[in-house]
Amino acid sequence: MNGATRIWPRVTFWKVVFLAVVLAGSYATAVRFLRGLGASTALSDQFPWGLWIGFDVLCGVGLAAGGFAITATVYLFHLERFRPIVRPTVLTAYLGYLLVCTALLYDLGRPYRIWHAIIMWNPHSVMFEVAWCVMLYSAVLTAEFLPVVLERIGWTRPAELIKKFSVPLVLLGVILSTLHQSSLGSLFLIMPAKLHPLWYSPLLPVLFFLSAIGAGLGMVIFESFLSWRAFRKRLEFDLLEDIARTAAVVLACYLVLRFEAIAARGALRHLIMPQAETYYFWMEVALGGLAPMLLFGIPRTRRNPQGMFLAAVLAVLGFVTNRLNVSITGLAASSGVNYFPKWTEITVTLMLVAMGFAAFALAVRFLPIYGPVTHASPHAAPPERQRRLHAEQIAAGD
Amino acid sequence: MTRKGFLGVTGISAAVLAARKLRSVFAASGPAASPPVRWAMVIDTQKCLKKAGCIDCIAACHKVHNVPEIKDRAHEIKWVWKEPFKQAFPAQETAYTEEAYKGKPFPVLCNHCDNPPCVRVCPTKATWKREDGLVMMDWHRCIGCRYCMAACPYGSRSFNWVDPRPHLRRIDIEFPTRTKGVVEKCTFCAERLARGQAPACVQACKEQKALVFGNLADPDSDVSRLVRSRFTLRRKPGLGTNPEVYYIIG
Repeated sequence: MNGATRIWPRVTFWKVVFLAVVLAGSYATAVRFLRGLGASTALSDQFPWGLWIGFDVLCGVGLAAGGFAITATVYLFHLERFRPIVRPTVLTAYLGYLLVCTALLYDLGRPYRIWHAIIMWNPHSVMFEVAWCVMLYSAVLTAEFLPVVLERIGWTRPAELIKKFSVPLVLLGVILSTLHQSSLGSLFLIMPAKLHPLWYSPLLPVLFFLSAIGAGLGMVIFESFLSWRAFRKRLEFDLLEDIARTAAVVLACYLVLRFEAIAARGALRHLIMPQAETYYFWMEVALGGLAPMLLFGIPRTRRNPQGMFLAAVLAVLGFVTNRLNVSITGLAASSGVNYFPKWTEITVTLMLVAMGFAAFALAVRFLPIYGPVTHASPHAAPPERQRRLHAEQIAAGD
Repeated sequence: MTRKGFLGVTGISAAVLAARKLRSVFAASGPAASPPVRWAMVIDTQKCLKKAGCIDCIAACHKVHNVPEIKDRAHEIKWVWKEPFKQAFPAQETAYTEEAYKGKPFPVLCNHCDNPPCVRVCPTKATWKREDGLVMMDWHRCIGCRYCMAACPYGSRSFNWVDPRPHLRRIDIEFPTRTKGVVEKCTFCAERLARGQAPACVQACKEQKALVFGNLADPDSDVSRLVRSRFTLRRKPGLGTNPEVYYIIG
């Protein structure tokens, strides 16, 4: 702690936005927990699940998929090159799961009974599987992330001890993630009469799993770029290029299966029907599936930082659109009501996302996320110059 | 542990498990159980429609079960309610049904399905199926995840979006009230069946006799005779839920 400037950071535009979002979200939180779901959501008996399930839970879990993909790459397949991005990716996954756990507490009618799933078992329920996966994978992610914190406070002995269990932990992570990502799709299998044919398919679990890997890899690229911009970390561009290439293959497999699933149910005619669902479908599949697949797949755009960043953003947005389409757009027609989230639902979601960003920034600042502990030196090169240097490196294809 | 030792322990464990399983099989074939019961309802819609605007069954049910009266449609609680033909029996209408049944509501309630999706999806078994077919709910077990509502194809489940108690005009102390944040629905009046009484809605319809309730497993019961002698419809039969509420239409 050297001086007041460290305690009271400069006022910036994003800090003001963050504060405003947190204030609004806190007020919405008070409304939710004092007056209940009726006062704080636009949900109804006809439309029991909304934004908190569609975005906070389904997307929070999905965007964390990079975590198990990258840890498996390094610890199980021994592609050591990817080690530098393990920690930021695990951090993203961990924050994603914390977001999900928090959002569940908002969405459950009786949040303090959340533990019921631990002792009152119904193994036939997909929701039971989801509950256990959330619990167990959150625990695994905690164990995977803990060494970073322990290293920072100098407890090297316990940190080393946990690291000895890296491989079993990563294995557990892969198993639980595979179950969890797909079970979120299985949730909707019970609604063949309700979910629109453009989204309903017996393949939903497989589609959810594949799209989560695609989006999870997109998220790794997205988050690397943001860290590079915000914290002036070295951009591991060669690694990202490999990840982009993998993402292109995953997205291609996903898209083939996606259209296969629609064809198998004889719903191809819906692809050209002039109906709201069709427009949402193409927004999701063309902009968020085909476009990033092509951008990631074509070497020229993949090697271009702007092209890669754009593709990553599209992949993440396409994934979010898909989850919202399955949970909201696709169920609208059969419900007979129009659901649009209330301001409370939106502000709570924004607050949770903003807190995720803030937690990431704080973790990068105070924990050894990128390489070993280095106390920020005030004598480092001026940020602007450093950033330019990296940009030049990238432009030179480094 | 040696390989031989490991195999030995595994073998003995398997034998013990098998013996226990066998014992339970023999135990099940012991003294005969009480005669089977499968509660079901038959609704004669012609009789029901005769008394236009009648809501006796709804009023009686909601009174004895402390169902709140909430005006806001998004938050209302309903155990028995009415639907137009098209909503009650989609894909079972003809081009002329609309005209024939225009403005004629059909009473609907929980179907107490033989294969209930709500029971399958509940993560905590807060809703479960009894041996006699009743689909029950434990409001202390329910965590309010609302998966059962997403799964039920009939809209038979209501969530307490707001605190129901201020909306109760009169509290029947014989039946529990609910809190906000849990799901509820028709229970086929399990508490009245236990006392040997007919469900409240059936009792309320005594004069019209549009609602008939009974044991479908007993071939001599009224419901059995009706479903065997009259043509009946069930709601959304294609979904494989096997509803146990039958409708006589014509």
